[in-house]
Amino acid sequence: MYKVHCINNIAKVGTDALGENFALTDDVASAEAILVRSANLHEMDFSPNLLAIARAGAGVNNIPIERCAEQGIVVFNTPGANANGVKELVICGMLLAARDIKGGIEWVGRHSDDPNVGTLAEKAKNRFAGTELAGKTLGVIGLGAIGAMVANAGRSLGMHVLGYDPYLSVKYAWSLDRHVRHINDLKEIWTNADYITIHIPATPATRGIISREAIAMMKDDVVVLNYARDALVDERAMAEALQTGHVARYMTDFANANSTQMPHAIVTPHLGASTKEAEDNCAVMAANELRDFLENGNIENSVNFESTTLGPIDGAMRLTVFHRNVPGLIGRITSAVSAAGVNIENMTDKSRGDVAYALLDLGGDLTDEQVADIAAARDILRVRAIRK
Amino acid sequence: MYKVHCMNRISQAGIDQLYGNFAPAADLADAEAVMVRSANMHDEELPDGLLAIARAGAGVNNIPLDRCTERGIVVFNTPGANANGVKEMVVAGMLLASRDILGSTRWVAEHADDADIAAAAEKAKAQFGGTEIAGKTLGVIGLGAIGAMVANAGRSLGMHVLGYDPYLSVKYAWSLDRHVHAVRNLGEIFAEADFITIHVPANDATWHMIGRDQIALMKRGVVVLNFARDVLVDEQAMADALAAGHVARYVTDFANPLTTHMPGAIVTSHLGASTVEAEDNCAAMAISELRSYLLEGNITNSVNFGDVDLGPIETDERIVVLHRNVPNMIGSFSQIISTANLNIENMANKRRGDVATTLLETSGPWDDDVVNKIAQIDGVFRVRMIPGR
Repeated sequence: MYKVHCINNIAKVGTDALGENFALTDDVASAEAILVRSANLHEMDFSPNLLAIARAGAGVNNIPIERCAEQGIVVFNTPGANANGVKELVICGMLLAARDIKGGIEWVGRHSDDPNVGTLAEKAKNRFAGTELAGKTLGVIGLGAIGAMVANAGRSLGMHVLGYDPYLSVKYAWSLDRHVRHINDLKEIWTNADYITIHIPATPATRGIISREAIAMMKDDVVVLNYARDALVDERAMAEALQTGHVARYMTDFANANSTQMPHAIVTPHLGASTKEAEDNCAVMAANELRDFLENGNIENSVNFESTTLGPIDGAMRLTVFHRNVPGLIGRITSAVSAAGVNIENMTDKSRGDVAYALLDLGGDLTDEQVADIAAARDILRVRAIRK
Repeated sequence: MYKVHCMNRISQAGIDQLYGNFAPAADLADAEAVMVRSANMHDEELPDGLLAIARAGAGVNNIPLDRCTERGIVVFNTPGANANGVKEMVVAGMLLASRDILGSTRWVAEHADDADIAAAAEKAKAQFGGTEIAGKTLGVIGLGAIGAMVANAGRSLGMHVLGYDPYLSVKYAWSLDRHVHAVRNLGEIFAEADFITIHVPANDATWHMIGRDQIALMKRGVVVLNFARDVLVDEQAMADALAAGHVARYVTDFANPLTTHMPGAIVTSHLGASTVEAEDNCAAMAISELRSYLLEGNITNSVNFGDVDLGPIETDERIVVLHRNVPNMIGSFSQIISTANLNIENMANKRRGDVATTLLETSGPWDDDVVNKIAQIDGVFRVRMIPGR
């Protein structure tokens, strides 16, 4: 029975997903796993019992991930669990940009006490008229969980869709509508798209990717949508392009001193993942990650270890080994197992920076002493034996 | 060469199709066909030569239909030309009802000069959070051009979709995503749907079809969308249900003193068809209807005569007869034709209420005498001979 401590209020669908091998505990010191949302863990001392922390959400600024790696504590997050929530906001953003629906609603609000509001609306409505999404070209930059869903939604609303992602994974390639055209040069998006939406992480390489030069190449009256990170857009260049009318609309989920002053920007206060379903999905995904790690040793969606998985345990036992990423270490582990007269049925080892993680399915059982001997060796951070 | 008079400015996409057999007429008095949007024609003098009026749009309240029928003038409209425009409004309406996106943009505007707005937004945003439409149940009442598109959009956005339309046509049945679940009883939609959208015409049978009793059957927290006609909804009952929190949101395209004061209503200013594309589609469709009727006598989307279609003209000429739907009309035509020693090769007759349209093609050449004899039959509004190609 694994014990899990919830630091924030975690959706019940999530804790239910942990299954029968898990119990919730109020005592963090006895817990093998922590479920957390945004609570700050930087000042917390982790007990030797703690094996994993799962963040129900994407950002992990609240968790000391390097210290966790050193202690062999795996930190998980839940990328993509909010994907549909963001996708729906992007669609709404495109529709609000295409026709001045917001202006029309505000006009009605201002004339709510006029008994002839209906007749007046017929005269006023032209100024809120616009265009349709169907038939327009949508450029999607980044085809991960969110971008792939946005691209497919664009297709199903009758748009031509151009997708750009030099690191496209098989998983998302498979999920994509086959009429999404995969392009290799961002310039094709800049010059052809009527709507441009960006769904990539903010890194030194992607900072300001919607640059002054990129904007200069865009079509007149283009709509740019940013529900990813504000740093991806050169906001000064965007403000100027909106001012001159080159960019018709900038839809952004990032309110800041720049975006709030832009003409023709529609700014939302970071609502991308603000849905009940996104919260539920995050909780369920976090629970599933913890469960697979504690029951099988598999790592998926960790921010401090590589994804490492051997599927369900296939053998008498599974040995999980956190170790420093130094030469000769894997040989020492396999020698120790062979010396015990046990066969290795399956094995995988993945490194990230200074640390690595190995999974070994063994044909026979190691004694607790033999496991402890492996754990005590130099450069080994943590060893766990999971018996079926 | 047919002369066409435009009562309103008509989209270029429509004008572009006015080539070949058509010429513009500056005066209504010279026109054989009229293109109109919303201009009021009730007080206009209709010239004897006028054969058809095409309304680029759906509503025909601006056209004197009875007078046109009596004079043998076929009136067309363009149903479905604005369907995608309305569909996109419905999708936007569902999304705006699910999360308080509009409230959140107001919050941003009110805090635009706050230097720490990004941090403040993280605290404030929970009040604008909501739910997603994926996984929810959408009930679509009326599966015509618009309803069918809305149902398919709901499916592609991950919704369960229930569709209700006792008069579903083959055309739209065919267009529907096969996972749209057809229900036979509106009660199923009221009981199960999280979103209910209505796409039926307003008539005596549909007046207040979303009434107090229907709302009482709906789930608590339901969202009702009305981008069709305001009279379909008993708005006083809706106002009460919103005040009681039974209906979460009423999203309507019809601003009036009742809707503008409903709590939780999102009211747009009749924007359903307000797109460049919808205008272009209406104009193109209106022109195509006129071409087909003037050059071939075929009628599609008329609001006063039955739709009838014999395809392209296969003989030397085709006769179009607009007449009252009374006994022995067809018999009289065929008697006159056989007396003139002509054989009827193709014929189609379609009634619509009290009136009907008959298209005739015969083996031999017609003369004016035959045409005049038919025109003199009591109850015939108009006879027209169209030369074959």
